[in-house]
Parts: sequence; structure tokens; C-alpha cells
Amino acid sequence: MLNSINPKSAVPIYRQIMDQIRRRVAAGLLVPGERLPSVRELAGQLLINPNTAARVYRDLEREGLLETRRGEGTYIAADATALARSERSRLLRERLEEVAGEARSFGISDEVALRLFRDILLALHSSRKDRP
Amino acid sequence: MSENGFAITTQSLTKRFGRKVALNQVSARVPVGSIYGLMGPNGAGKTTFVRCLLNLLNPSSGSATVLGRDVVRDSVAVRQRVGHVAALQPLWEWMTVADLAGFMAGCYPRWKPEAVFGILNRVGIERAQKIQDLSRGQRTLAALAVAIGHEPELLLLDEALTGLDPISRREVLRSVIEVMHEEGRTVLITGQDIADMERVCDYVGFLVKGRLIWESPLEDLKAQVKRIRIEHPADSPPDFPVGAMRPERATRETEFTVSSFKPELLASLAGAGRRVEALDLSLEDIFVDLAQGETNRPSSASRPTP
Amino acid sequence: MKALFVKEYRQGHLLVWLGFLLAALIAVLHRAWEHGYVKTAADLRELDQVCAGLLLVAAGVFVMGGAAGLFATESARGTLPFLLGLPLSRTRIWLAKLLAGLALAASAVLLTIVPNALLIPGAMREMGLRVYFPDYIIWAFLLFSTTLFWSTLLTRAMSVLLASLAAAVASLVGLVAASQLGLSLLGYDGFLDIGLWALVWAVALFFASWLTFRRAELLQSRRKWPLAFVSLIAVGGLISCVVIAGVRFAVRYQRTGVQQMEAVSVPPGGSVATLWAYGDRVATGRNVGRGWGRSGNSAYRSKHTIALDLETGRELWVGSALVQASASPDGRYLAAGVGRAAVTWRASRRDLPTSAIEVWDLREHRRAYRGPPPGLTDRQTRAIGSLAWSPKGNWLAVRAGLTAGDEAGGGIIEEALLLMRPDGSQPVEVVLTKPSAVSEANDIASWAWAADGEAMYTLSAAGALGCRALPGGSATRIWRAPAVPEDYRWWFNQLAPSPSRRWIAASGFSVPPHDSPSSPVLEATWVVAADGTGAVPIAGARADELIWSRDGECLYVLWHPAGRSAELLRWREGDLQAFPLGVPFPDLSRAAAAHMWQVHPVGLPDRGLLLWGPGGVGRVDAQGRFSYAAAAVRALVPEYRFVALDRRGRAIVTNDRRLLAVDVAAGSITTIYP
Repeated sequence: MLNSINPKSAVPIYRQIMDQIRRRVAAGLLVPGERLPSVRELAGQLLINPNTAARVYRDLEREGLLETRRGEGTYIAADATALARSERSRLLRERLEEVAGEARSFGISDEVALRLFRDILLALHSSRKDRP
Repeated sequence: MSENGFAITTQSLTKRFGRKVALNQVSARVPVGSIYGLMGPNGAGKTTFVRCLLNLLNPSSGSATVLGRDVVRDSVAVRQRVGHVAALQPLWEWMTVADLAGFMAGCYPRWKPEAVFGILNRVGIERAQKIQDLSRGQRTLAALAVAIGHEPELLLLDEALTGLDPISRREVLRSVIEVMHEEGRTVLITGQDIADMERVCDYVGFLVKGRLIWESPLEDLKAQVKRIRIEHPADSPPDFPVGAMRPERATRETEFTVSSFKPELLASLAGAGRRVEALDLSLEDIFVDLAQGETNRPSSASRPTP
Repeated sequence: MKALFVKEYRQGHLLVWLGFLLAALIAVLHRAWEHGYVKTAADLRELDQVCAGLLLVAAGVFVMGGAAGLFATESARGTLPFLLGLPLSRTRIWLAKLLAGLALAASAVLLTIVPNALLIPGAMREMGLRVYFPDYIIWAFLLFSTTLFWSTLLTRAMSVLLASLAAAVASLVGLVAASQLGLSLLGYDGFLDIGLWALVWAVALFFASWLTFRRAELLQSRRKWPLAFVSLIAVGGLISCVVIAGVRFAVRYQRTGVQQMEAVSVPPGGSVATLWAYGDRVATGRNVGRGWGRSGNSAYRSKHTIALDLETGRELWVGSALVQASASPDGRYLAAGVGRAAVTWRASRRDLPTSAIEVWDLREHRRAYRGPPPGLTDRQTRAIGSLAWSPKGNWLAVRAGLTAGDEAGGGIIEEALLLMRPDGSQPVEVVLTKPSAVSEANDIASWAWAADGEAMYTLSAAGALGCRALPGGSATRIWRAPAVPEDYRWWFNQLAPSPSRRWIAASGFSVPPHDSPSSPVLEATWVVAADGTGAVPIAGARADELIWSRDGECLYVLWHPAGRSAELLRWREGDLQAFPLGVPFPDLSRAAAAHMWQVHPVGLPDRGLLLWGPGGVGRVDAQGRFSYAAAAVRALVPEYRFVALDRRGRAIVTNDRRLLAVDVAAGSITTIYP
């Protein structure tokens, strides 16, 4: 399955799926016009409540990421990629807020935290360079 | 057809066995189209509840309505629209799977063999196999397959996942979800398979010692039952509020679970040198905390409600 | 529901195969045994009986087996919640299981019986299916319903079978006990056939089983036990009351409904007749198979014993059919042995030997006595034989079989002649006993009442005539028959004391102990003087009839001299006359008597004689002259047969449909009954 969920997480299941779909669209793994599994198929693959799956699609459609063509299925909307990308910052901000909170609770100072983050980013760059 | 959008409603349903009270004034409401998980420790009364809905048992007092019909007066009509799979339900061993399907087909006015054999084929159970030769998981799947043959509007799974291997569990869940794709179908799952319930249920109810101590959408449960963690100086430990569950205390740390969390609570607990945060609990943790809280609760105290 | 029926039948089909197997086994065994051990027809009959018994037992087991697993196995295997979760009402489930159980039992029984009907016809005959088929069906229902009842309560098929067996035995005992209880509570005045009770309780068991299944949730609570038994007893009791009331209401005596009579009896010179009256539902007997020989008329529902006043034709007493009912000569009492001949609703009767006596006072219409002979207990009295009133109705002689001693294993049975007062006010006098082990020399061979009922005469097997005064007197010897070789034994076929108390006429013969054909037999007829002064032999052979005239001075003797036709003798003191009945009567030899004249000599008030037979009616007057009766009277023969002379000297005759009183002298005929 290309979506995986963690039922125990604090994040509701529908949010997890929505985030995953947005991430995949933003990364170009899902392109506009591509067909998504039906609600039924999605629920069956992930073993989740069909209502939940329906809600995911409903909310994403309301956001404009998906469009439903009657009788044909659900597709990625034309301007989905742009929308998804604008979500990226929001997603990253959420994660960084969590990390910041943790750093504070460990008692790490802002400078040390920033230096750690920069080291990690640099390490990522170099590892990417090594890859063909 | 349902009553006010609920597939099951019970009004102060009570069942006594001699002096033992198995169900104590249970007023539950299961919305149409939901997957409702009824959780509770062993002996909480879950199976008794399901049996009352099917009129296998007569209520001592109170009433229950399933799909708009009273369970006692219209029990046959109720059972015509309800499917039922029980934990490790003994079946007639001498029958083959086809025999069982044929038998069930003869008992219901409507029967859709495609649905039944769809499940059987998908999990690889052959029609000619005798029930006594099936494994535990296969039996449950066979029972589920014949239980949905009459296209029930309500499916009752009473500890149906208990004791199954993970593969069979997934197959059962998959089949249940397949069934659910029709509009208006409702599923009630009872048991202790918290992980699976966490995935599929959108409504939950907690039954402990015969009392329904919680009933709400799953989201609301997770939003309201949280664990409060307070880090504080060693000499000023905060008091445990009334109704706190699983209280734990170390020298500079105090934790307890509350069942009616509001963000204001954090503010009210804040103080000098304190760090307060709310931790999310998994459904399993919630289950344990609520159950223990009910066990330890003196009978005069009010019980937590959504 | 049909799906459930099919499922139940398939679940139990093993039973059917078992039936088939057993049938084959019994047939094979029969053949093998027949080849090896059967030598005579009696042996074959015995083998057939054994096989019939085996088949019946097997059928019983299959009937129980069909019902045993219906509910018990569901509880035991835990499939009951699944079954009850189906959209079928509990009543439908119960009904489907019931029908399947019946079908299984019927299939198994049929498969056992039918092949054997073809292979071992002898066994089928011994089972008496044609006669007892209704009985078998009823008992099968009772057995099935008992097993069904226990199947609802217990959880293992084996314990169900055991409980049902125990219950079946207990209910059989209980039914018999209830029958006895009803007898003593209600008298024989209408208790019911055991088969009807069996049906009633089968229905009650079905109901209790249904109610328990319907109400007792998952058949696991302890509540089901009181529910089952209370409903069983309540419903059984209710239906029983309704049935009893219905039968008692339905079975009523109506004089106009009487269409046939039987056992009409009038004491000579009496004023009360006793008879069995049959109602309008007489049916011819069932055409039973060979060897069971119970054809003949049998009545449905309306057989009563009537005591009739011959003067007015009014019924003095009406009750259920009694055995050996007999009215006292003065018409005051009616005595009968109490049998178990109950009011039945089917065509067969089961008469068990009587062991108690009832005496009714007809004038005051109340029961004067009921019970074993006074002074004896039920245990001591084995059977009541014949009853005979003394001429004045002050004593009742009862022939009874007694158990000597109080041994539990049933001691020696004695035959005794007991004398009791009609109201049982004194303990019986035991006049004679016939212990089986003692020699027969002192046996009473014959006895008769003296005319005033204050004494009785007894003749022993050794030929001694004694007179015993009552009550409590001892016997005084009056006369002894001529000596015979010591091991010979006298039989007296006639003993007639004269009404004047002066004479006793006796007729008898002696036989050697083992009746060897070459030994001569001594026979004769005597008139013995009551004061013991001796006897006059009046015929060299035994007499067929000895009749005294009313004043006791004239005796008529009907006898057959050797090699000659029947002869009528008339004896008066010092005078003996013979009237050969050849003229004007046709040949009266024994062979011809069946077709022509069959003489019933009857004493008339004067010293004459009335003759009534198929050939006609006539009188022989005191001078010995014969004259025919009036044509109207003669027209009654041969349809009407003679019963007795009543107190007014009228001839009471019957054709088993009507009772007439004929005054032969005046030639008038009166219908008395119905």
C-alpha cells in the first residue's frame, strides 16, 4: 500500500492520509489527471472506515486538490501540484514547531538547536551529492 | 429504516441473571452508517448486550430498538435484517460450507449468493470443505460470509476477531469494510481488539461491569481523554483532581489521565516552576485507564461522560 | 422452516440407517435360528414371538432416538445461539425440529418393520399389528413426547435417553397406579382407558417442551426446570379434567338407546332381573387375525349394568358394566364382583380378575358394602368367582380364591366358599376350602342353600351329605352315598333341596382317580330325607335337571336312560312315574336336541312343569298330561329364549333385544324392557 497509517498516533487517520496525499502530489509522485483508488478500494487497502476514506476525498476535494468526475472516479486536480507545494511550507512549519518544543523542553539553547539543524542539512546535501 | 438516524437505540436496558447484573441501565445509540466499537473488559456484558439485541435473551427491564423495530416484539423482523457473527461460534460440524450457505439461504427471504461466495473465493475456502476441517480463522470467515448473504442492514460482530491469526483478522476486516460500501449499512463490533478497532471504528462505546461509561465518536474520545503531565519542584506536588485516572507520581513529575480535557485545564494547572502538557493516548491506553477508573470508582461518585 | 427441517433430518439420518441395519440383522438371526434350532411349529411360534419382541423394542428405541438429540445436541454443541439468531420464531424452530424428529422416528421404524413384514411374516403376526396398532401409535407418541421433553431440559443425548426410559417406566407404573386410584376414588363408575391417559399426557409433554423452549432463553438457566414441570402438570391436569368431564358427560345411560342386552339373569322366583344393556353404538368386533379370536360384538361407550324391577319394569340400579351381577331373590340387594372393566372409549375390554365385592341396597338405593369379603384383606383375596344369594336374601355365598398366610411371595391359593351378610356386618364364614396340597377326600363337591336360607347342604367328594346351620353352625351328617372303592371320587352335578325342607335331591357319579377308561363309573340319582333317615334311589343315572314343585312335595327329574331318549320322571313320596318325552315330543336324544326340542323344564306354581324350547311351548300338568301353550306364546320361539320364572310365575324370556314376561297359562305377553 502506498499510503500507510498509524492508528495509534495522535493525528487522526483522515489527517494522516490527507497529508500523505498532499506530500505525494507535492513530490510529483501523483500528477494532475491521475486517477486515485475509489473510496471503497482505499478503505479496503488501508483497512479503514469507508466513511474516513470518503471524508479524506471530500475534504481534499474541497481544498481543490482532487476532483470527482461522476461515474468515472476521483482524479488529481489540474492545479493540484501548485496547491500541494504551497502546503509544503505549512507542513514543514508544523514539524519544526514540534522539534522546537522538544528542544526547549530538553533545555537546549536556540543557538545550539540552530547549529544542529544546519549540520543536518549540510549532511543531507553531501549525501545527495554522492548519489548518482 | 431507522429511528432518528440510529440503527440501534437502547433505553435503560438492564439484564439480570439471578443476582448478577450483567447490563445496568445501558442507554446506547449506534448511528446508521457507522462502525461502532463496543469495548470493555472480560465479563463487561458485551455479549449479553448483543444477545439482547437479537432477543436471545429477554431484558429484565428497559427496551431496545434495532432498525426501528422493538427487539422483543418484532424479533423475527429484526433478525431478518441483521447479520450476526459470534466469537468462535460453534457450527454444525458435519455440514459442508455449501450446506451451511444453502441452509441459511432457506431461512431468509432475500439471499445474494454472490456476496457469500465472493468472500469464500477470496479467502480460498472451497464449497465442499466440511466445517470441521476448517481452521479457526476460516470458520469465522465462513460464518461472516453466510451472515451477510441476506444483505443485512446491521452487522453484529461479537468478539469475532478474538483468537484469530493476523491474516484472518485482516481478511475479516476487509470483508466487513467491503460490506460497508453500501449506503446505510451499520456495523457493531465488540471485543478487545483495540488496534483493529482504532483503525475502522468511527464511534466507540465503553462497557464496564454492565454500565456504558462512554459513548462518542472516536475522535471526540481521543480529544477528551488525555494524559496530563506536570513537571514541578519536588516540594510542591499538585493535587490530583477529582476523577483523575491512573495517577502516577515521581519526585518531580506527576501524571494523570482526565476524561474531559479542555485547553483551559492546562492553564489552570500551570504554576511557578511547573511545566504542563497534555499527552495523546492511544485507544488502548484510553481503554485501560477508563476501565480501571470505573473499577476503582466509589459508587457514589459521578461517572465520566462525554 | 423447511430448511431447518431438512437440516435436522440430515443431521439424524444415521438413525434411519441404523433401523435398516437392525432390520437386516433380525431377519438374518431369525433365518439362522430357524435353520438351526426350530423343530416344531411351537418352536417357530416362540422364535417369532422373540423376534416380534425385539422389533418392538427396537421400534421403541428408534422412536426415542428420533427425539433425543433434537434439542440436547444443540445445547451441548453450542449451536443454539446460532440457531436462535436466525429469523425464525422459536415456535417455528420447535415445530421444525419436532416434525423432523417424527420423520426420523417414522423412517427408522418403517425401515425396521417393513422389510421384516416381508421376510418374517410370523413375527409380524405375533406383534398383532392389526389388533394393537392404535395402542402402538399412542405409546409411541407418549415415548416420543417424553424424550422430546427431556431433550429440552438436558444437554447430552445419552442422558436424555436414560431419563426418557426412566420416565417411560415410571409413567407406565404411574398410569396403572392412577387407574387403581381412579377405581377406588370413582368406583368402576367410569374410569378411563389407559390409552386415553397416554394421549393426554403426550399432549401435555409436547406443550411443556414447547413452552420451555419458547420462554427459557438459551436453555441454560435453572429457571427452565420449574417452568417445564409446572407447565407439564398444569396442562396435563387441565386436559385430564376436561377429558374426564367430557367422558362422564358423554357416557350416559338412556333407556331408549338400548339396543341389545346380554347376560340377562333372574333368580328363580325372583322379582329383579339383572342384565347388561348396550347402547346404540354397538359395533361388530374387529376382524382379528388368526389365533387372537376376539371377534363378536363389542360396545362403544354405552354398556351398563341394569337391575330391573320385573313388576313395574323400572330400573332400580344403573351403573357401569359389572361382572357377575346378581340380584337377591327378594329383590332387595344387588351384588357384584368389582372388576376393572372400565368405561372404555375403544372397542377392547380388559377384564382383570375381581378381588372385591359390592352390594347395593336397591330399595334405599345406596351401597351397602364394598370391599374384600368382610374380615379378609385385599391381599388375602386373590379373585372373586361366582356369587349366589340365599333364597331369602339374607346370605351371600362367594366363591373366592384366597392367599393362605401373609407371605409376600404369594402363598398357597385356596379356593373357599365364603358366606357373608349383605351389609358385611359380620366377618365371613368360611364354609369350605380346597387347599391344593391336601388330599381331596374332604372336598366339597357340591353345595346348595336350604329353602329358608338358614342352612346349607354340602356334599363332599367322598359322598357325604351334610347340613350346616347358619350362622356359625357345624355340619351334621345326613347321608352318605353308596360306598365306592376308596380312591374313587364322587362328583355331584345336581343338588336340590326341597322347598319343604323335608328332602334333598342329589344326582352324581363317581370316577376313579386317573379316569381309566376301563373302570366302571357309578352314577345315580337319589332323594335323601333331610332328617337323616335314608335315601331313595330314583334313577340309575345322573339327572340333567332336578326341579321341585313350589310346595316341595313333587320332584321332576329329567334324565337320559342308557341308550334311550330323554325321559321325565316325576316323584312323589311313595310314587314314581316316568313320562317318556318321545310322544308327543319328537326325538329328544342329545343329538337331535340341538335342532328340535331343547327342553327347559321349569317348575310352575302348581305341581306342573313348563317346557320351553325351540320346538315350542307347553305344559305338563300335575296328572302328567301335556298341552301346548297358546299360539301367540308359541310364536315367540325360537327367537326368545327362556330365562327364569319370576315371583308371579310368569316366564321371563328374552331375544337379547327385548325382555318379555309371559303368563303361559293365561297366554298373555308383556314387554318389560326396554
